This record gives sequence, C-alpha cells and structure tokens, in this order.
Amino acid sequence: MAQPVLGQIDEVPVIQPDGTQVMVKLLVVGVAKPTIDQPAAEPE
Amino acid sequence: MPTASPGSVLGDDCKLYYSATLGGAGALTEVPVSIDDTISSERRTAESNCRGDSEVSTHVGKPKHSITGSMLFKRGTPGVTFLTMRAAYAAGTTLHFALASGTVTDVDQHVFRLEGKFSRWEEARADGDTVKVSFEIQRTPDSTYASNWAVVSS
Repeated sequence: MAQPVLGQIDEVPVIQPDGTQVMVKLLVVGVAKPTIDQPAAEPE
Repeated sequence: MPTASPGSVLGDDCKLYYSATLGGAGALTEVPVSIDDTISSERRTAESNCRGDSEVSTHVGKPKHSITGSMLFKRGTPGVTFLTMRAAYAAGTTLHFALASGTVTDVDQHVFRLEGKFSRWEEARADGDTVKVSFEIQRTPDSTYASNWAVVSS
C-alpha cells in the first residue's frame, strides 16, 4: 500500500473477535510527514 | 455497516488494533480489551544562543506521536494477543497499530494509525483473574510509514 496521503481511501481487512473478516474503507484526513530522527549536529 | 454514535472521539471507548504486516495493508486484529488509550503528540524544542542572550531562538521540531494505554487479559490463559504483544516488546518488533474511537467497522469512527514499537510494558496481576498491562508505543524512528488520521467511510 502506498504512503498515506490526504483524501486517499485505504481498504483494510479487519479480523473480528469471532474470526470473521470484513473490509473497511478508511478515508485519510490527516497525515504527519514521515520523520527520520537525525543526530544533532556537533557543536563547533 | 452501522454508523458510529454522534460525537465519537478518540479517548471515548477506544479500541486498539494491530497488524504484523507493515505499510497499512495488513489485516487488523482487535486487542480484546484495552482501556485508557491515549494519543500523545509532542513537538520537541531546542534553544540556540549564538550571540549572547540577546539572540536566543527556539527551534520547534515535528510532532512525535505515541500511544499509551492498558490492555486487560485473563490470568492463566491470556491468549494469543498477549503472547504476540509481549514477544513484540521483548524483540523490539515494529507493528502496525490502529487506535479507533470505537469499533473500526462502524462508519464515521476516527482512526489513528502509527507504526511503532512498545517502549514500555508493565504487567500487573493485582486484581483477581485479570492481567493488566500498561504500555507505551512509540513510533519507530526509521519507519517510512507516515502516522495518519482516518475516518471510516464504509
């Protein structure tokens, strides 16, 4: 599945407690940009 | 598919789901009982002071999200979910989590998705036949999956 973007609809399977599976559509309404922690710059 | 009750918001009767498949396409499995689920979001700040106190600036970082809460399991036979969660904590395995404002199969529920690891796992067996696990999930720093909010449309 592609990176989530605003307005995208993801079809996601959900396994229910009784073991049955249903498909759910999720409309993406907010995305936090991917952030990869970078080490702080060394002070000079 | 039923519609969520009006005013459903995160924090009110939340349900937690997980998947071992990353990227958002894996099947979500419900954690049987989770309580007090909370999404925390914090922007880290740092101050720089390059030319004396007259030029102090504050740098505000991107939000860091985490999920805290408690899971309740049956003492003696806690089940597959308990074992899966504990193994993921012990091994530092990244899982896909979805925290919904209620049953995720109900239209209009709010869902927050994040790929992260358990950073805290506190088991208590103080009460009768219940095992209570207080946990914290933090986003995996090098994950390429953007944490996001969604609404169940159908």
